[in-house]
Amino acid sequence: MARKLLVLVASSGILIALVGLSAIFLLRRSAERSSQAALAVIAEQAASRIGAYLSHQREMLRALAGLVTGITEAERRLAQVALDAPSLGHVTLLTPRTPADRLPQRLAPADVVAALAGREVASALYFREDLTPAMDVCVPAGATAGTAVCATLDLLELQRQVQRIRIGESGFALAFDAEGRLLAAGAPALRANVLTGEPIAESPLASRVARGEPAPPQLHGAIGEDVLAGWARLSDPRWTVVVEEPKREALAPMRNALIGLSAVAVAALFVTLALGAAQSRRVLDTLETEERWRTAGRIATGISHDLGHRLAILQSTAALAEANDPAYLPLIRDNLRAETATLKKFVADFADLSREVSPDQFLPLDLNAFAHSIGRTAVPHAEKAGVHITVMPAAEAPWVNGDRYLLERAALNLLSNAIEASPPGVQVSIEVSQRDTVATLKVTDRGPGIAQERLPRIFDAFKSTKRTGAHVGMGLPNVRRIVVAHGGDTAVESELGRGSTFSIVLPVQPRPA
Amino acid sequence: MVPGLGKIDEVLLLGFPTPRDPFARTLAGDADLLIVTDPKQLEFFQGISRLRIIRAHGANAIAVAMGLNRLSRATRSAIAAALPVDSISRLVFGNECPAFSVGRDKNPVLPARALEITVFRQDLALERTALAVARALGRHGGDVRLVSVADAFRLAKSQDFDLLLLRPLVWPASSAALVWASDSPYNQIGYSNPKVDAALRGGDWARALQELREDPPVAFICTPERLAVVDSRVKNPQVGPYGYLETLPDWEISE
Repeated sequence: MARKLLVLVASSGILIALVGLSAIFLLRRSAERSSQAALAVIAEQAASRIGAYLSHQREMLRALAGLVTGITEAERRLAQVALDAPSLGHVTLLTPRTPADRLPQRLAPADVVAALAGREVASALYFREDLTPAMDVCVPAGATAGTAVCATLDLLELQRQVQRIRIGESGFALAFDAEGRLLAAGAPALRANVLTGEPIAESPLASRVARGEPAPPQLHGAIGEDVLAGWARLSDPRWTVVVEEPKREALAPMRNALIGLSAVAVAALFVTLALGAAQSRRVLDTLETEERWRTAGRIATGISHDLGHRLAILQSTAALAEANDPAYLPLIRDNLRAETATLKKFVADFADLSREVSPDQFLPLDLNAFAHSIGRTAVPHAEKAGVHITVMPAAEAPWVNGDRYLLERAALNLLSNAIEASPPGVQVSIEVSQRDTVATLKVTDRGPGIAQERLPRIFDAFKSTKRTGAHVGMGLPNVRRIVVAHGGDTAVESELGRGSTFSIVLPVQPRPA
Repeated sequence: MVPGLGKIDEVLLLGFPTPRDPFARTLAGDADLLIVTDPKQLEFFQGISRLRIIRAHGANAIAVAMGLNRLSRATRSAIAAALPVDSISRLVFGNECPAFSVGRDKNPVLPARALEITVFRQDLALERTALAVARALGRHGGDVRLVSVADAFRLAKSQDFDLLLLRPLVWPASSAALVWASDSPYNQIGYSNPKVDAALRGGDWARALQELREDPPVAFICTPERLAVVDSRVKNPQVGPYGYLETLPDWEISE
């Protein structure tokens, strides 16, 4: 019972632990997704700001171009714009006659032709002499066909925007062009790559995002550790922004919360187990006490019933003796002999109950020889009852470990019951067998049999089927106690009118060398 | 830098093929000191705890040289007095370039023609200053002409220009005055003034500068600070008065 309760409590603990672990796993996944979503939102916002800034600059240039109505004075006035709009440098008027050394630095000849043809063109981002990021842009000049207004957009502000993005302690943003070249880096360790143009771990992913393909929300970043990442894409120019946060940092609050939660859960688990164990022990103690009282009651009932019966016989025998009639003497003698034998057996049953089973005193036992031995021991009793005992040993002797005295008491008890249950002239058999790792000793009688409804409780104390007055019902419970203490089990099969078979099942041991 | 007993044991001067390389190498941790020529370039170093930015009094000014062959002493003085250096400095550099304090003439007599302003094309700050000067001169301000560095030096030597944007040495005063001596190798525009030469020979820097103000070869606009980025382990980095590295023996490295 105690073991079952402990198993129950432990199972509850394991269940709680499993639920806790699942909760931790789910919380972790949820925290990751939540962080990734937040990073993606920040990346989108950054991309949106960059797009808006570029769009604003180009819009300003278009507005300027719209004001150009003629070549005269236009160049001088446009040049002055750089003073009022610092983000527009080198504002020039592009005409078919513009000398080569005054063309926008980074526009390809084809782009210049396209600009003069009325198309808006832009160079890739580059770094000027003072290392500020820039981009050359030309837009068609409003009223003057075949001319364009060009400017060098100062993109320092974009660099600032990207560098200013801070996520937690060390989260940052990176901006890439369509080819995956790093344009701006919030991570100080990566800024050198902005100038050198050397690709970083995120470069190929940025190219993929620029092409409209998805990028992983987690990666081993260029800063040398695993990061959570949120990606966003600009359509014009086809740049990519990624916002990253080291995983250890992004999940730190969740991890701390989980550690706290786990600590509380583990503490709760231990408290539950401790309380459960203590409560179980109390319940078991109560049950044990109640059971002890119930057993005592049953013993008292059995003893009072059986001793009462014996007392009644002795009283009537005493009454016969008081009559001083010599004719009663044989009867008085038989009564006294019978009652003495009964009381002797009664005392022997209780003596068996008081003997503890000690596994350290077990010795190897040949079950075939054991069966022959108890068969011989029971012969006088059987002869008196007119019953014949047959021993059927196993083909190969099974060996068991046990307390020979107690096992004999158990087997003789079964044999004695079988003899007493058998009518004269019939056979009682002792059969030994082995199957796999268990050996069985069966005692079969041809008595009246036992009703099926009584079988389940036949090994309980004070449940004797005989109730002849000579049995207190402690025999079979004692058999079971002894066999179970040997690591074995007992069994019974019975059919009314055909007899019963009681079995002692024991674990087989290797034959001693 | 090799730390030894708190002082610098050895200085390696590294040269790079492009202006980007020293920045990249400093950002990558391969160099410990970088001279920065434009405040915008400091943007790269924002938020990098490994490096610190140090500032010092500027030694070179932003100035407008006035062609001695084309402009008389009176015209040069008028131009110098006409330029609103404070607003030009603010317009071009914000607060990064303290303006010179000069007495302004509200009705200067400037040439009737528009003065052409020459600047070499690789100095974006000078280019913007040229635009600001042109605007400040109003109708007297002519076109801004971008030339190569070599052309700019050739023009300076020939004195065949109206206005040319330069960065002459102005600090400390003794060195600044010596630049304008007739025989000074740093006298890029061939300025020659016997009174200045006499004052310099007598060691009277103040009088030499006064003479320069009265017969100005250039109009000073402002003096940008000298900037450098230094490894944060250096405890007391200071830029030297004459050269960036003069104070190196006093620098200490945190152990």
